[in-house]
Amino acid sequence: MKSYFIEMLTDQPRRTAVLRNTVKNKRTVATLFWAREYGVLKWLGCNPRLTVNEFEQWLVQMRQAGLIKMNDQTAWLTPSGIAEKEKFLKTHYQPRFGNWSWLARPDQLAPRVLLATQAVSQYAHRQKHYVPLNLAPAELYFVRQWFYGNRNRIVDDWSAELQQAAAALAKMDERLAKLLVFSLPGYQTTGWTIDQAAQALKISVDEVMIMERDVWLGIGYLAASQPAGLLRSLLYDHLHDTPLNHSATITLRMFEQGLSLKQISQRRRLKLGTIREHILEAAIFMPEALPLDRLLTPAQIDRLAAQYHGKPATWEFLPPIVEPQSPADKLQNEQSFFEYRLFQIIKGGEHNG
Amino acid sequence: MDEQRLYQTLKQQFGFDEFRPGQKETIQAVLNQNDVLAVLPTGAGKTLLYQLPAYLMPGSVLIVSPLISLMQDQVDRLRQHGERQVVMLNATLTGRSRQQVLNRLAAYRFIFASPEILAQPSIKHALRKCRISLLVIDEAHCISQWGPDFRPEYLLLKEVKNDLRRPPILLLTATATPRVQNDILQKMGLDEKNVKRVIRSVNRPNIFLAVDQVENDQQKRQRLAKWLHELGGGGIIYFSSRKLANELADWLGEMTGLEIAAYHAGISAIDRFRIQQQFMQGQLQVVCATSAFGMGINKDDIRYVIHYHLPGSLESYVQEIGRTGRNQKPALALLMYSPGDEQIQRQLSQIELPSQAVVEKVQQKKLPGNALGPQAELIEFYLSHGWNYARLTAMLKKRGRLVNQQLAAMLSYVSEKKCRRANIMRYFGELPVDCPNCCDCHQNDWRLSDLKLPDAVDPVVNDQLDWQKRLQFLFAKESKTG
Repeated sequence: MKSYFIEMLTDQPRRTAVLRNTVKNKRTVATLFWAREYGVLKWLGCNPRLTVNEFEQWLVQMRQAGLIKMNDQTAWLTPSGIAEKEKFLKTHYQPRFGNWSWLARPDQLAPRVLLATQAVSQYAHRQKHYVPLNLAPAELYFVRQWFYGNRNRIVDDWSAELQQAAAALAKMDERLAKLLVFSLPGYQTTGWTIDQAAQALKISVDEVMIMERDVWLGIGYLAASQPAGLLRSLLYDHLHDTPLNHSATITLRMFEQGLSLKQISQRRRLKLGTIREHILEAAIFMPEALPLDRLLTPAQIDRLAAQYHGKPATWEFLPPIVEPQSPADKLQNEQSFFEYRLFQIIKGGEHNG
Repeated sequence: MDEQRLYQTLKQQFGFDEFRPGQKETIQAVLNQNDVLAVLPTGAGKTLLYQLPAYLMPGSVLIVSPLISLMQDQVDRLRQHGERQVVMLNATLTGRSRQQVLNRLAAYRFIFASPEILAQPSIKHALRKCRISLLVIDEAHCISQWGPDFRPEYLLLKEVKNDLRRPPILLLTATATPRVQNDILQKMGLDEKNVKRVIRSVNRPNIFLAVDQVENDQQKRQRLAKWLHELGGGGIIYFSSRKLANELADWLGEMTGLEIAAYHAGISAIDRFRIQQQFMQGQLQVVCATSAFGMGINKDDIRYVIHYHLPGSLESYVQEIGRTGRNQKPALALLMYSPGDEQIQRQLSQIELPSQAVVEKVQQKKLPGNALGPQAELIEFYLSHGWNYARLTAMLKKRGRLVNQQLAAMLSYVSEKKCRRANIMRYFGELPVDCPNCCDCHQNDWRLSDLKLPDAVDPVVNDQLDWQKRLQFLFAKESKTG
């Protein structure tokens, strides 16, 4: 998948830690804010197992090839790099479902669907003895329960849902449908390995990985949108309702119910800083869900607008107390930073459209 | 246990009419509650030795295995035969899965476990509630410091047997010299007078042994492609590195047109499953594997095993070539060697002695464990069991000498002029035997056609990409009209 990283760079310096953490799904507010600014949120979590070393090695290779330059902790494309990126964009599959990356983790959806299909396919062919996909006991148990709970019409219904899923994927790109269907294990077939998929579809392994991500996010989307379907009953516990993680969702709900951030912090026994991070994350992903007037008064907004101009990505925080002397000073700076960051996120969202 | 019942179970559960050499006496000894050490070559059917008794004894059989891939292979095979009451206990079992499994552990007929997990209090507690009718130590040579695959966690098994109210013990291995056999019994705290030994020869008379000496790596690659052109499919090629396994799998596929895949720990679990099944079913013709995962491939009609790199010991070599010719038909074991190949093994097996200062800092948690170097796991095990620096150093130096001895034995096999089979058998304390189609020392102008290997089967290639037809086939919904 590393060949796709070039798409996250432009001729303007970008923080490499942000790019790396985006790909790895390390969701700090700073990472998410800058990822949104850079327009790279669609790559969020596309390679969670990427190591720091692997990413650094990729940067070194790019630099040695004359495609990027680096300074401090930033990198940008050279003219050759820009040409290379343009060529890459034209010749390589582009992800379609990146904005749904919060919906589910592909590596959780895939094994269940594959095992379920294997079981149903063998059942359709009246085969009892086969080697099942080697998943964790809890997953094997889950799929077994799902199978027996739906056995009556499982062949017809499951094949119909997969047909529907493949048809929907085919509308976006025929190769997605082929990748889904030919990866499915079942009667007399194990499905394609990643290398076999690349060979059959005449694309690179990296493209297969990006397409696979789209396939499973697409499946997740279908499962989420059909509450009565078999896909939903198979995958419901791996689907997320919002882009926020579980803890941030609880914070947001309590805030919507009228509690202040301090009250939430006390009730949940979490640091105020953590609660603020939750709110900032909500501001990035779900600004419409945040009652902003409870977080920033008109006077605060005016003050912030007077202090900070131009593109939000270019702002630098101006702490009210330049040399904090006491804990109270520190707290005031933290509160101000929170207001600044919130304002920056809101304005950044407006700026990016 | 009457013989009739034994053969009935053999037929009903496993579909066999007869036992292979060594199986019946081992199983009878186990059913008579004896401790048994079974040294049977690869392909001799060691898994039956505990699977059959499991259907005749109450409670559960606990099988200790050093590698997840080995465990997974056994579990897969049991599940394929419809056995559901089988579980693996290892580090990958966590969270909810783990608790569910431990709560109903006694319901499993087969419990596979890694040795280190058996040391965990929660696992010990769960096992004590089970009735363990048989304790199986697979790859028992791992307990011996004189063996090449020594794993210090195996030393904990001596206490495990006592924790489990001392069930009969079945020790299984394919390769153990007499010295290692005695060491196994001693480390398990067993009196050798009370242990039944069932020993069969390491010799596999249907496997032709050969070494192809080349000048350099470039020549080796070209030669390997030539071998594959002549041999066709149905083989495994072993490499010392994943990178080379990947690289050569791609290159050989292009050069030969054969269906080839790489198989090692860097491949995803789902793809490893796919490759294993495709190879078993003949859809893949050659697998380029690293040794740890070569053990996961289990097929009766593998025609050849080629080693691209020198293994570290004759024990490893014999285990790996044992994958071929399990159907007793002619097979080939070819080792490719270019001068200096032994350096790869020397580097892989390097025994680095960290300084006392480093060891102390790790113990005080001022340095991370990996500061101890490539032997970190081994050293940490001994430190956690109260060993001091002097004792540790002496042990590591001894390991270093042993590694060199094993490599020397491997090199003596490569440079053997009289008989490769005798070389191996002497190493394992056996007297050499005459063998038709023995090795390239006896037939130094041998050709593949002389070996009369079974014909390679061409894979059925289905390159149609109609996803709708594929879905119909998957769910038996193809049109039945012509």
